[in-house]
Amino acid sequence: MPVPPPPAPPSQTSQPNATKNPAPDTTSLQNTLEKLRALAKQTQPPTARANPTQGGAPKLGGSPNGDITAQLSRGQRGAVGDKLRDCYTGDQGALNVDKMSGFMQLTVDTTGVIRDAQISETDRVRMGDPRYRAFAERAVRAAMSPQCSNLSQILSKAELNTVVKLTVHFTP
Amino acid sequence: MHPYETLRPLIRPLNRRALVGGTTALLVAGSARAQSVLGGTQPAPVPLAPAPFQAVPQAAPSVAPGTASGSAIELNNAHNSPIPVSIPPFLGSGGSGDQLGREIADVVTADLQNCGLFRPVLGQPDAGEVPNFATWKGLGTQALVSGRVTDSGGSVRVEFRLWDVLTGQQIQGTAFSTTGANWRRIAHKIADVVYERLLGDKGYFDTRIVYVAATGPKDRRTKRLAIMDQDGENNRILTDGSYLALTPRFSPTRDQIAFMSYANNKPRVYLFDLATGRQSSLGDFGGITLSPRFSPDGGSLAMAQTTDSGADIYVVDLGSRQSRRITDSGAIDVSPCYSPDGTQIVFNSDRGGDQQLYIMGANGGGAKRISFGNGRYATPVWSPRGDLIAFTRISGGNFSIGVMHPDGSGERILSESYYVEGPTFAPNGRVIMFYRDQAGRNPASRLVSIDINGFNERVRTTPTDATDPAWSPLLA
Repeated sequence: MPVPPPPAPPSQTSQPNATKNPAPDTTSLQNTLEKLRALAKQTQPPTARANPTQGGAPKLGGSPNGDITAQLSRGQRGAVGDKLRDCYTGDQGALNVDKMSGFMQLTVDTTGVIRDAQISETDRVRMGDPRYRAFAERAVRAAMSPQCSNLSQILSKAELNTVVKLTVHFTP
Repeated sequence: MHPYETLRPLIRPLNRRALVGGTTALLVAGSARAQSVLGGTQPAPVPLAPAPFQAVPQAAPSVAPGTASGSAIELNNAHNSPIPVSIPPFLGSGGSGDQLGREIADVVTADLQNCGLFRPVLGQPDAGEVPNFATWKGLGTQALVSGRVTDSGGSVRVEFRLWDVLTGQQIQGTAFSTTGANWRRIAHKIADVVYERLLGDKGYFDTRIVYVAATGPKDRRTKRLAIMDQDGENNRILTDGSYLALTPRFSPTRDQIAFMSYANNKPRVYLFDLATGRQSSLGDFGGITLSPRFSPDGGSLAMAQTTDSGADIYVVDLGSRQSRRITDSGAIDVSPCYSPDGTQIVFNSDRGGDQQLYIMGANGGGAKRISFGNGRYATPVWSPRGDLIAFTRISGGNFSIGVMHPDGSGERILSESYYVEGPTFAPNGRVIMFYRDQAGRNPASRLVSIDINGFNERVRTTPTDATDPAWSPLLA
């Protein structure tokens, strides 16, 4: 009995299976590219992010975005923290508050008064959690409080020449 | 004589030690009297229709940390002090609207002040739509609640806005409508919104407390179920006092209360329907049934039932009224309470020789002791947020109310006294209420609330002596 020949291997050039949602003119390269683009639709958020340690313009002095925190002495940073702490209140009863922390950026005007306090972009996504939002807003309120927002006695004359930014790490 | 000393000889029938809480009911059986149980009527709650305003949009912040965390300014060691908040009288449309505006602001102020987490700052309302933030800043307030009342005969509409004074932005805005008689609930709801927005946890002001109102001479006390708003207003008696009523517990899903009644001299668990005022026995299960507690889904009820050897925990399906025994230790197992997810039960038992707290699966089995401090532990209650278990501890002749984590760690005593017992959690798990017997010339039982961190202890005013408080869930 003659043995039937083995089945031919699948073609490397033809398309054995029907395509899903074929384009009207499958011979068109443009159509194929568009279809591939549609299939490769982005489903994940972009992973690119700002580099916080990028540095500034070379040899021009100053800071990349007006943030002078790194230029402050350790004593000045401690003094700013002490000043804000006077107005910084917490809520010991909040669930998991001991595990919370965040960064905020302060904008200080030329008189040394904090005019704005914003939670950092990386922490802002957590503001959807009401408990975290309440925790972070306490830090913002401390910085914006009239009793604690005047840093003129702490910052030097040079630092008071221009609007500057300070980065604050807040924990309970 | 110390109450515990009074109770001790009476527990001999069970051949065990004194059990605080649920079993206390057994000890007073002798004083139970025949009665017909009269139910009060509860008006159907008038629904409040929240209608959110459109909040003023906040400018999108655009800052990014420009400094590595190592060189950031450190802000820590926060003070545990209340948030200064101003609630000036709500503006009315003249006449009764003005009066109502003042009263609503007063109730909101009292709610926020009494919780201990806010400090009211007095001030006058702004005439304009947007507050004068500089003035409020000068007064030292951080948040401002402004409102407007429209009283149109039988119905009331209250609009309110919550402002962040320091950033000058509206952070919440809501309107409520209801009947004029229901205005206090609007005030409580506004306080709840403010609480939640500024603290991140749901408020608990629009809730009620059911408790046992005790009257009459000490040797012949009349104990009736009573209910009131959490701030002590709208107090109502639910049962007529012909029979002793003890250990009431709110259903998490229905307008219903489970409690222990001595009706017909058969101490058993009963259900009280708040909408109709009717009460009915949960069923006749043989022994005495006591210390009821609803499951979180409201579909079943755990309770203790006396047996020949002591007492065991049973679970009763509220649909079929079929009961199922889930402990069989030969000891006295009482005071069951579900975890908020319904998978575990904490209870107290003397199976180890002394009265301690144990946790087991909701179907029984795998009981594990969690209390190891000095003294005996009773009346455990699981926090609605799951992180704590409150209890009564008896040690060295003193009673105390405390909390511990469900694994038994982090035990803290919140309040200690001659006699304290029966903790219950507010629905957000932030406040505990219990009752305290005051010794001395004028002995009295009072309801007391305290923050879970042990501060802001406050006595709640009731028309009569009060014991066995149970906090309702948030009202719908």
